[in-house]
Amino acid sequence: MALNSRYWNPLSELRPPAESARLQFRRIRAVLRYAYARSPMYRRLYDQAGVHPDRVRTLRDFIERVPTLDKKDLMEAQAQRPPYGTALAVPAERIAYRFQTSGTTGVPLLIPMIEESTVLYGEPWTYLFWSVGLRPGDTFYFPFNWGTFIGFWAAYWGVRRLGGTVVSGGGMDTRARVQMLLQVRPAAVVGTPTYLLHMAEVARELKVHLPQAGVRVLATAGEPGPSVPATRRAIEEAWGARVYELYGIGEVGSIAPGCPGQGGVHLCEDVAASLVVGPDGRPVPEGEVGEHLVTSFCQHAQPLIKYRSHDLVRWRRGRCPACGRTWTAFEGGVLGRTDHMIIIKGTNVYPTAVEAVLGEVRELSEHFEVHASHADGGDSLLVKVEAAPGVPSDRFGDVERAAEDLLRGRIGVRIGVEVVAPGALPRYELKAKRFFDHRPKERQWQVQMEGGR
Amino acid sequence: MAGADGRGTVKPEEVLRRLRRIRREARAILAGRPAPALARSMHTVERACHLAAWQIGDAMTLLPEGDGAQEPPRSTRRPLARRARVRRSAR
Repeated sequence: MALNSRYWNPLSELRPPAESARLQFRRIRAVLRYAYARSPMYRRLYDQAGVHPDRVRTLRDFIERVPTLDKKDLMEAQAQRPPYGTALAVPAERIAYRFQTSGTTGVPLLIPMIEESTVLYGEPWTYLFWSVGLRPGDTFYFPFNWGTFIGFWAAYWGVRRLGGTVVSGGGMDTRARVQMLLQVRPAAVVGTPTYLLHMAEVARELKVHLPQAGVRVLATAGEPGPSVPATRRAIEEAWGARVYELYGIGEVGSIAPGCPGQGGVHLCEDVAASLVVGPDGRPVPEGEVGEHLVTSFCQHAQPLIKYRSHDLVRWRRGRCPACGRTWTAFEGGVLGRTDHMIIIKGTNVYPTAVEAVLGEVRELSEHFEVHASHADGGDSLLVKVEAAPGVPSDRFGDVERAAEDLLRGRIGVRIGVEVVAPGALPRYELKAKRFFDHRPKERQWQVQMEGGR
Repeated sequence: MAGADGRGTVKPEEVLRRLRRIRREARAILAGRPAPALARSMHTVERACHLAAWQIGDAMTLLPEGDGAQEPPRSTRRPLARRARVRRSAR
């Protein structure tokens, strides 16, 4: 193995953009044929839309004629013929794993995986690990309970591909995991940004200096974080390690490893193809923010084509100045959710932007919640944020005003801030719930998009 | 040893040619109905070859056995046909 190679697979990572676009379209056609031939749900969907895969001859055909798919479509397909439903494209005996993710109605969405899928699903993690200097023989610590959340299973498959050593922190509480870190001294730890920050808090309580564990790399997924400078700084300072993210969608795949330059993520073109569209469903120009529609090449059991991620991204093409990859870049990672974006006096506001600004206020911690509401004909935001440890409560009012001024200066609209005591907001092991929408449904971007089609 | 760009010294076309040969061999072993353990290993070989071809940008079916919507690659026709003959003669 060429351990000195800068790239895990330069044939893919450095493929010239024009060649890459041709290859991606050939792969899209392959997955269209595959789904139409094997999945009753897709056959019905495309027959109803009057589009046969053989008639999708250009990318424009794909954009204009092939219908999108949403999570609720999969939920309905599964409900029609439990457990996997009419989307299933393989015989049940081919299924190697069954995961689930939260559904839209309280019923979980099942994610069946065949063996081939697990390899491709894990591969973007391997790309990430390799690009930040991790190599076969390095040790990876998983403070994760090996539950039904697929994200860190995929990271595990990625470590197996790389040839690293897996150490499980399953079935332990956070205190035991912190102690174990000091014994294991892993090269890398895999977790959500929220949980890595929580581990740092617990380490402080235990008087453990986390950098003593010698961790070099923190690999995260499940929520934004490392692409937000303030959050990245908080994690890196607490751990004494570099933090990188991977963008994945449970039912779709681990699709975009972070850039080693930490400015965003790159779409791994081996495993997915992307379209970035506006509220009217048409592609937005390079550099603009839109919703990410994704076509998975790694979901063989339950294919996903033009799948609405509801994630907002800003896309760029061309060679990345930081890492050299030619894969499509999503600058700043996932900027928010279509259902989390709110418009205040004509300005689009994303929770990640709020998080970035709050991170500049020294007296505030990284634990926050964003509450959106609607009154007097307009949307408004209130941020509840914990004070940093040691900040006296009689300072909270001054800190609130300072944070509000900073938010108004940076984002351009008024956003309310309420400072609460350290530890007042809930903690999460996996994804943190940061956004609380109290607005009427028709105010949400997601609904506007659906209305626009 | 490959250079620092990780591309290696063997051209992708040559890698693909060799991968096709390995897949043919794996399928020939599978056609001989070997012990389950060996059959499993041969399936793994076949899938690994398909994955490698995909990563190079060659494979245009999602699964090694094809996507079910088009003719399987030439190299798979013979063993499949042979299997069908065996099934017919067993009736």
